[in-house]
Amino acid sequence: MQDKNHALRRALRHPSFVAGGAMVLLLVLCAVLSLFWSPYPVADIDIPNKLASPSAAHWMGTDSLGRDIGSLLLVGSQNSLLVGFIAVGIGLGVGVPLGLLASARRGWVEEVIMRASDFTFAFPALLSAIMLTAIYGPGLVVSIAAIGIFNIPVFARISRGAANAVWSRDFTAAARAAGKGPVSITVAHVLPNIASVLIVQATIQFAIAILAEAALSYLGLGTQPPQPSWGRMLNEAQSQMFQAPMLAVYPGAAIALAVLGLNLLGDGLRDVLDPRLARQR
Amino acid sequence: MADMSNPTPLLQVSDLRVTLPTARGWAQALRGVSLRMERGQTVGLIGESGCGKSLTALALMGLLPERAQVSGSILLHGQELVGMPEPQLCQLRGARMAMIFQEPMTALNPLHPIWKQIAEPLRLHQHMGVAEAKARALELLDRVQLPRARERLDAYPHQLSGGQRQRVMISIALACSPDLLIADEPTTALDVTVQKEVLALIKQLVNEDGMGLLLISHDLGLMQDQVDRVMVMYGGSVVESAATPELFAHRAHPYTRGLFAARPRLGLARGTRLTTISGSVPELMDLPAGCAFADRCTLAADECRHTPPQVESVGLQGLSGEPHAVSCPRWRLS
Amino acid sequence: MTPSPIKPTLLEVRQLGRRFVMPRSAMWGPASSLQALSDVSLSLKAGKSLGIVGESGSGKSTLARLVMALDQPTEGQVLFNGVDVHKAGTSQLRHLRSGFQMVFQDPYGSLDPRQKVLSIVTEPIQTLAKPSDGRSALRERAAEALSEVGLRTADLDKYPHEFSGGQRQRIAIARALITRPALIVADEPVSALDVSVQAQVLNLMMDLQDRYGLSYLLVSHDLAVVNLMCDDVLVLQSGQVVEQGPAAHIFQHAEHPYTRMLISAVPGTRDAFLEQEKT
Repeated sequence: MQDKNHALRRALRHPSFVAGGAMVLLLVLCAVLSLFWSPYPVADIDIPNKLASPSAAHWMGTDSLGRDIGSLLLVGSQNSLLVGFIAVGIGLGVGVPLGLLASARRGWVEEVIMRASDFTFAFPALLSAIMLTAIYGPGLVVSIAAIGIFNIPVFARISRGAANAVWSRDFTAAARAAGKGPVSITVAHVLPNIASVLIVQATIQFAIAILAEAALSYLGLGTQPPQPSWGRMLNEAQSQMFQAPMLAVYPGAAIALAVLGLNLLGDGLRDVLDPRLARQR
Repeated sequence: MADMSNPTPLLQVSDLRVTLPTARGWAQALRGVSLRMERGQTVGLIGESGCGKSLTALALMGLLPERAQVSGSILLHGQELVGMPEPQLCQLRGARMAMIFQEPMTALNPLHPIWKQIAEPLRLHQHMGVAEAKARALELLDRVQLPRARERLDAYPHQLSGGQRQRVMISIALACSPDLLIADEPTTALDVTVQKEVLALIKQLVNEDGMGLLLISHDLGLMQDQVDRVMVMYGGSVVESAATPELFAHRAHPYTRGLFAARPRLGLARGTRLTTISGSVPELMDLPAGCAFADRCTLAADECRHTPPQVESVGLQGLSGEPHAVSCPRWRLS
Repeated sequence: MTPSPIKPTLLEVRQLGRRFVMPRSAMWGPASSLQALSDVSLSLKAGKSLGIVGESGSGKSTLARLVMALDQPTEGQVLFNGVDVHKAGTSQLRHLRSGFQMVFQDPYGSLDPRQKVLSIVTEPIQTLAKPSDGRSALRERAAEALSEVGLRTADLDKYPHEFSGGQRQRIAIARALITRPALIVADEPVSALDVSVQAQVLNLMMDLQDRYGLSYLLVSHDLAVVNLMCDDVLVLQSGQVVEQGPAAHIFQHAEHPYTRMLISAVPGTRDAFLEQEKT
């Protein structure tokens, strides 16, 4: 157990990990907080007060309908996190088992799975989202589905590659010699050894999901009103560009910080998780 | 043979010490290594992992990691290498001193054809043009007896076998006719039959050119065939040094004796238990203040752990007049 | 733990062959193949040891894997205790496996870095021969296995990276021993170790052999190690057997030129007996 403490202390000395971790933690706290409270209810329209500059009452001012920007940002973070979690969850839940299956079985199973994921890769997420929207109508669920589907080949490919490297090592042969079957070996040996790669990739995909959701909402295909969304805030800011240029800065900064935080966390995790094992002899 | 008429030896290393940063703090990886080599002499460094033999080679070439701290003196033809600025060292490397590494597959660039890699030192140090360098590369490949050299000039490393890649490495090392050749476990990664050929080749080339050879290995048998003089290393220092036949006939240091006894030999009967050295090599940080071998030595006394051992001379001068030195005050007790 | 009584001929290999199909280098035409092993036959009696020697590309590691049923042969059979291991059903093979285990070459790759020594060492009995009394019995068996290879009970809760190469190889040997097999296949078990550590591990292997009447199928490029550990030797060149017979005899009176070349290539062999061979 002292091994884990040692790892934690090392992690806390790593600047990327700490900075990224702090930013992500902030994001999560905002989202959790906004479930219970926000400075102003986001449905409150206050037309007389529209496009107000930052003041004591509204720290970031108001938008074209008089809604408090701070509250919009806070509640909008829920969306971003939700999309991130579910989309990455889909990728991990479906993509990783497919990749592990491909690696364990090799042969035609591997070929089929890899070609299918190539095919899915070839479709830009945006295009699939537009297609799905055309069939099912716009909304948060559809955009999550589109982004989630796109995550599947990413995780399938990466887990297969990492799993192949693990299968080539002697301890899996030793497990076979001990009588373990491929499923048992995959769970007991392969998965723990590719976990660090998957965790790092998950943080990266999380960031990509947030960006994708913002793009879809900007296009009007994602979250629909009255649910706030950073992407849609950008869209609305566009039409107000000459009257209130700052309207674009706040949601843009929020997106940028969330993505930056996740990328830093991912970098930090990569350094903390992998070389520890590589460095020991 | 010590050549008294030429006062400047090819290589003179005095009290070389190297400290490296480790996870647990600064550790003394080399603790005062001294050696002297004339042109045409071959010296072997033998020891197990962690003894500092590869580190010595890297220190000579100036290839230690940036944070390493080096003290002592390395004189190549009288020129001090310790503390020499990098650009000057670059001029010497490849030209006056060259190194052959253990793993030819990783030491060669997989993306460059063979001739280009051999031509690199030629173009760098002798400012040769491409055509001239390519011609010289062919000459060198012939010299290292690479079969079908002309066809292989444009080949890539992965198209050659292990032994052939090692020959290419040797030709790169020899390109500028260096005075000193350092070979770090040059045949460990090769099959036994290929090993024999490559070692014979190195021996022949060294003799022809009158180079000094520093051969590093963990294999005692190899030393017997290849070098004039052997230095045994443990825990960052040289524990014994003698002319090869002398060392194989009379071993003095307890570690050397342990090493010889621990080898499986073809002459042993089935089921013979090998004599082992108790314990295992400690980490650099855990070496005792005195003799590095003290904790595992059957002859150790209390003073061995605290006082660095004095270098003593083992009786006779041996056949070639080379001194047989041992770093152990108690060696006579075994 | 070995399921049925050991027959006098523990391991029999009959005309074993293995061909690998290489990745395609051209679009059309047949893919090239490599005959890694052809027509290899051998017989190993209980309690005896056989050394397989050869250089890289000789097929010795392929042979080891085929014997261990980690790979399927293209021709021939491997019979352990009279049963064809490649034709056995999944559960039958599992039962058989407790009778033969393997020690690998790389002490750093053969232990899962993410598992503690306890689970590594007990892996064979987790699937093959689970003791009925659960975790504490498992732990006891593991502790017993570790003490047999000279390690301590406290080491059970450590990870592989906390041990040196020699110690890891001991852990690998403990793992191989835990089902009390009759045969241990060792693929270059000491090649990656320093001379002094090598000696300790070889002595350990010889002690275990005496104590339990183990048979070793020892794959090695090092003739001196094979000479020490094995009663018989089989020399492989490019997948074919060039010579086989009692080790002492072959090392002194080798007939095949390849064997002689291997022996003479061992560095520093100026031992008396080689002089004997020349006269």
